Amino acid sequence: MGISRRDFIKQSAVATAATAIGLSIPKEMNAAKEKAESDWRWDKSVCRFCGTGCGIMVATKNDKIVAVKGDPAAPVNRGLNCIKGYFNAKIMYGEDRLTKPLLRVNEAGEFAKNGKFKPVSWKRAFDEMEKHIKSSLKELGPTGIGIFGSGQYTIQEGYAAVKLVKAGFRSNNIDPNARHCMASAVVGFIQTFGIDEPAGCYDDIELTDTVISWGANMSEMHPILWARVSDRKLSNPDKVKVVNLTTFTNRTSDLADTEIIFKPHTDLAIWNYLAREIMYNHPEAIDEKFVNKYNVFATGPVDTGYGMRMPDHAKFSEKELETVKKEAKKQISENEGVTLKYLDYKTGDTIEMKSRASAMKHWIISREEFKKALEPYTLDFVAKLAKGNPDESIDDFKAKLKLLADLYIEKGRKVVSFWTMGMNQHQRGSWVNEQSYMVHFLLGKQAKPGSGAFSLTGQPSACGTAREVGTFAHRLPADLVVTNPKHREISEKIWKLPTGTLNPKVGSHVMKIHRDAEDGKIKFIWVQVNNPYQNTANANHWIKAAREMDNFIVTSDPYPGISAKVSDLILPTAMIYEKWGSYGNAERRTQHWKQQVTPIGDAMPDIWQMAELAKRFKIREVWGAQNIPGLEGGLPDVLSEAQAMGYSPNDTLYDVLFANEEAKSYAWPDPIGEGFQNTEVEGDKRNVEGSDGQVWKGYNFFIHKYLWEEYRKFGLGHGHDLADFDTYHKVRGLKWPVVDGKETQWRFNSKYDPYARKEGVGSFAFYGKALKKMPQGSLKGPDKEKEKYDLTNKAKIFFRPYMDPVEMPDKNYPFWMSTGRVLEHWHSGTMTMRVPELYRAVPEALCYMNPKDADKNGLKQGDTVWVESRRGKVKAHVETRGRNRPSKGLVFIPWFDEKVFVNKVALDATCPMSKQTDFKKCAVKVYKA
Amino acid sequence: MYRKILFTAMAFTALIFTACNSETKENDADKNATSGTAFRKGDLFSEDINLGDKSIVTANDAGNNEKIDRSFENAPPLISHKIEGFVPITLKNNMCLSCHQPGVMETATDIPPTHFTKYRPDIKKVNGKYQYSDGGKLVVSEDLGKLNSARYNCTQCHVIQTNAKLDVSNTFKAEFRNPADKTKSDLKENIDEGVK
Repeated sequence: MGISRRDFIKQSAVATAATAIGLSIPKEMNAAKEKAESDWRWDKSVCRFCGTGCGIMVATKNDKIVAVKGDPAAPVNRGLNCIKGYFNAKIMYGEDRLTKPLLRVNEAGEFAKNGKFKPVSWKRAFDEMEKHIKSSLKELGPTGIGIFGSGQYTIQEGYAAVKLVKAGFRSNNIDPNARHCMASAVVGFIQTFGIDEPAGCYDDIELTDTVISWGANMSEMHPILWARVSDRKLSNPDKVKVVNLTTFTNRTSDLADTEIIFKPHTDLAIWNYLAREIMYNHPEAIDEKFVNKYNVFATGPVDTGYGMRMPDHAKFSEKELETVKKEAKKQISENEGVTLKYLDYKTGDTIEMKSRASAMKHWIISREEFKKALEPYTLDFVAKLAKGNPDESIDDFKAKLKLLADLYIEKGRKVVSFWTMGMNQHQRGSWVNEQSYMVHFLLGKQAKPGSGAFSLTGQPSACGTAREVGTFAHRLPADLVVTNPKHREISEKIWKLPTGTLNPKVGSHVMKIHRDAEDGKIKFIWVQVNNPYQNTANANHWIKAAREMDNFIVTSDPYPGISAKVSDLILPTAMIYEKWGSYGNAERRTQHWKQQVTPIGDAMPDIWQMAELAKRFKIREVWGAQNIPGLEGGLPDVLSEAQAMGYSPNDTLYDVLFANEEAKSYAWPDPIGEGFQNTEVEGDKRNVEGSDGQVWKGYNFFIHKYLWEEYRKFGLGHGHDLADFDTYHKVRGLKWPVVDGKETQWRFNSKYDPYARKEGVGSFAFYGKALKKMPQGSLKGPDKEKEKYDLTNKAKIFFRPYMDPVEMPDKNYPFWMSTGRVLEHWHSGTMTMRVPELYRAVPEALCYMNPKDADKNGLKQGDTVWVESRRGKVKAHVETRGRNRPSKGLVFIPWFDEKVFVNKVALDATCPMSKQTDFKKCAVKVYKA
Repeated sequence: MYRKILFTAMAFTALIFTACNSETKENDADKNATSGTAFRKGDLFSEDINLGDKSIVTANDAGNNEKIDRSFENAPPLISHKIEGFVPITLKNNMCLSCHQPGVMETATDIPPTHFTKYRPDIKKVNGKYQYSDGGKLVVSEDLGKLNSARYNCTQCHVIQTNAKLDVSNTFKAEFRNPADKTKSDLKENIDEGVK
């Protein structure tokens, strides 16, 4: 840059105010492009980390990454990344990258559950996997295996995994870590809209007047979205208002006009306060046209439990049972005596959890009934219930709630509500997601530019892969579900499977895969692109199950994290820029990238691992009749139909699922790949010894393109349209549905969404197909006499009550504990802890607590404490002056640090509907170690 | 089989996770796979581990600090001085700006020109619909004459460094095509290098 400090000082007045607004800037004098001639190769790619989905530019030289910059052409981030985003440059170069498959063996070199890890060939690794899968299938059938999948799979990986597990092994036991992250959001979408994923897009930020963050520390978890919010706020500080609703002060509070600290779980009551304020005190704010035309009211059961196992399970400790017993029944608390009065419950009554298995059930109610149910949520009641900072006055807190209501209600004021884990990781997560739409619908502030309830995703492809591909125990691609015969038929047709191949019985979700392993019902587990033995609450149970039961656990990982350590076989796995792939972010934007460098050691991509495993199974071994517990008659023998379709019983799953005629029609080389390598398709310079002991030379067809093109058939014409493979390599992503080459900014809005337009019912059409013929009834239940209500093109406004969480602080465990992330680290830290700059920035998970609580307990900054719950305990250092500043009564401990294994402390209660764990609240004690 | 495993498991898992704490350099990757984890020594079943002292920032105060070279070309510089008292950055107060504003403090690294540039095109209503007015250009760049407030949250890109001892090193090798890039940004001039 061509300006000296002296020149600059001459030119500009020295501003002293520490404010962004007045700060002046040196003019660019001469923009020399001295670097254009270098030997670096730049290529567009995508950040490995959060759901924001920033574009990055990757520079490589001599087959190594040498730099990363923000992609200035990427609409998401326009050249800016957060600290993690920039350090994508270094994540693949931790010195302990796994380079060879590692198997636990005895001295004779045989597999032994209690053996030590020794390097083995890929051939041996697949021999062992084949053997253990076959023995599990033989003993237990398709439900005897389980796959821990991921919201960090590339889209093609997730698609290959679903196809292999559901079509190949006929098992539905595949579930992603996105279960821990997004499942409540999904239930909220399906129940409310009948179709998954947000209506809005990130452009809402630039267009809105109000950003309300509910249980989302966006400043650290979605830093680039927060940069956009900051820009919006600071560019128009008087008009634009930012509110942070949170259970502890965090960096998002620092840039908010108003911070509302609420007691964990009381967001349920605050949403209802807002709705009550609208219905009772500001009926003029109701968008009557919108509500009458596009909404119906609904509710469901409350006696749904907390997603735990019943207390009679043998493996609970006495202490655990103190909480777990409530899964069967519990006493109605004082607050619930108020909020569940509409169901005739009184304080002190016992509520039996009779609807645990039917928590999703719901029915249509009248607007009058809806209004009646909101009656208890007065400002006085809610303020008393929800105030989360004991040091704040009730009047101040009430004033804030009132202000919040005023912002939502103000006519013409655009409002976006963002949330992530605070509302998703919640024992009533599906309810609280539904409540957000409740308020936005009443005000007609949904699916409009600058207005909407907007669920943010945590992971880079929780939307693109986990949800859109459907790597869940109940899903198939493009919102299809295994329980629907029509959906199975569509899938069988696209996958060219015999009728009846797909298993109609929902498989085990993440928590249930762990629990099944503990119960000996699953004996083979494959961990892909995530770290379930570190990321799952109540971890003591699951690591014991992995190490002490008769099972075989395989972990594919680039680094030896906790899941790798508790496994029997570790597969060295290629990382993001070592393979072709694609991710889908939180605004429905799908983005692809090319392989930038050769993988390290003998590491191989996940797609290769799955396709090679598929070679070990002949269809006659998996497509015969299968017993499925709980499915009468089991799965049919489909081999004769397979033969009629032209398959041989000796065809392998690889032949049928991944290397069929259509697959082979995608030739390599392909012009789109010119100048780039493709390890799966053509092998690479390493000459890795492959699964058959021969040098890996590639599939010789473009498997990534094939998987993409086949996958997108599921969504075309059904509101999930994706563009063709090549297009994505020419653009910075597109927001689906992509119709006639054009992306969709605001779904359900006829001006922007061709699918809404096509319905021809007005300015909006909530055209999602699921759950659109519902029973009618009253608040107390459905009325069997009444016929089902058809709500085609409408969305539901749910009434959901406040209920207490299952475990709350008491005399013995006086603190709330919340877990979460920090800006500098991604999830379990396996990648970011290996980047020295990120490691040194935040080298350990701290126990953030209020200084007064520390004082009272004889603790000070830096002390080592035990944090103990009914399930386990960990050590951590106390932090009273950090970025997270809890009020009295709550501690926050992030989970990225293997040394502070906080998920041993956390409670594995889930939302009974979504099965998503509540990592944000349990009761602990804290004492000096 | 099951019973046997159950009985022996506790013993051998302890063995597996504590066994290989030695310095033998057979193969780093494999070594780490048989001894605890890279970040924690010992048995995964016990949390009674020595955490040592809490890591702290030992850098000097701002003004008396030694700067840290950039991690790679145009990587955001790390904060090389103490920041206690300077954070949090709030709506009303951003202490970073008072020293890093270009030309204010001789010893402070100037905020580079990229931060005074707007790369996001405006979103405007055209024919009743919102769309970006990028004029068909891939990279839009407009001098703002003031800080781009999307860059107001300094600590989302710039982080302090504690005295924590590295458990795992990193083999990434930076290349600085111009030696001056070790200490300064030339991103503004090269923002669109390789962008197509």
